[in-house]
Amino acid sequence: MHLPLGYTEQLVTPKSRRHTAAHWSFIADHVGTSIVLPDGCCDVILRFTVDEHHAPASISPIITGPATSPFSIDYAPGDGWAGLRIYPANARTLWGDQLSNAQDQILTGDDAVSQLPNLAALINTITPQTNIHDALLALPPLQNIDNDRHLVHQLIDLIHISGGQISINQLATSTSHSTRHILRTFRNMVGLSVKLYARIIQFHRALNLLQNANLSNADVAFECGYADQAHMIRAFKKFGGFSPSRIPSNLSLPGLPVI
Amino acid sequence: MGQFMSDLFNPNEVLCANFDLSNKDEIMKFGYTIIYVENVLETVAFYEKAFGLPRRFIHESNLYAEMETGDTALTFAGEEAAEMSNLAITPNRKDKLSAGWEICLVCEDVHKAYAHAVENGALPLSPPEEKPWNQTVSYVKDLNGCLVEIASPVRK
Repeated sequence: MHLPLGYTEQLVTPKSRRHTAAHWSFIADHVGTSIVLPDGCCDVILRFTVDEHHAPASISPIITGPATSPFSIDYAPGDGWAGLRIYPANARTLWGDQLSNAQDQILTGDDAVSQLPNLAALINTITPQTNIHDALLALPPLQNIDNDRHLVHQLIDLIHISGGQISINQLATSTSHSTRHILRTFRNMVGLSVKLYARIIQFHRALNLLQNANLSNADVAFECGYADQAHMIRAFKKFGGFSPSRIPSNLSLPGLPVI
Repeated sequence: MGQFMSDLFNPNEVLCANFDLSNKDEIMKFGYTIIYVENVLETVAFYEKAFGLPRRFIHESNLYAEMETGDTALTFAGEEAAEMSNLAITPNRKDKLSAGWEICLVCEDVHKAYAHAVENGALPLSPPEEKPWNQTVSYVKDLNGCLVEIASPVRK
């Protein structure tokens, strides 16, 4: 068990192998609070504490629904989390019929195990020597066998490539399906509307540009396809809980490319 | 002393050193054209077959490839590479309106190259035509819907 301190993550590539979009871990070495930004994805998480020898103890499972709201987490030295970010098209495979009510839901302990029974066996196999990442990755993959999964993969790709700046009509013509079929299929498999998912991707690109590109708020709003600054400010309040001019320093940023 | 200092530190010389355009290191070079594509491997195969351009290399991730096109490399990158660089793009697609730019491949026998490209899957848009400025010019669309001009050098 040698997960590094702080936040690390590994995106899973290439896309043909993506049952999961990424695996990540966070081990705290000080007291603090972190704002976890929503990425539209579900996560399978193990929460634990590590002792001075980095051995994990008090392991409890967590399953989250598609995330659309910021989430604040307090931590103390030794608190740890390791997780799999589920590829969005596999959300239904994880949540089943409950997906329609799963947005921003969090299942812990027995509730998480009853949703994903393999977690019980996984937790039983963990010893102080276990690498929790390896254990999580050894979970049987979530196999999406829906006939429309390739369509949803295509839609997710197009939304990411365009930075969320693509209309439902453009998605429909690009994939040669009706808008009605696209809207229904995407929501059914991902657990979020196309529009909401695209807004999350758009928000993350705007946030990244504001943090890294030394652009004004007005320029970022324009580049990211917001009608005006007011629309961008509303998106930042909704998905981050802060305004573009006051970006907190304790953000936990998911690596978004999941295509 | 004043003279000595000005010999050591001549403001004009400093300016010249910083903005000396005769220094080749300072001149911007056009190094690459990078086209974001849905499938890098398929695109490389298409360009080899339709235009006879050999590949220079393909990165093991299959997200980037360079063709052997001399000093200015024609390269292809997977669309997900654009997002990794925090770019947002309009994807190129065969059945969509082409983006407002093109690459131009130059050869002596445009008629032969055009026919070869079309036989190997390029979409014919405009057959070879003699232009008043002494150039033979033709246009096709590649597998991703990108415009490719096949033209002769301008003859004197």
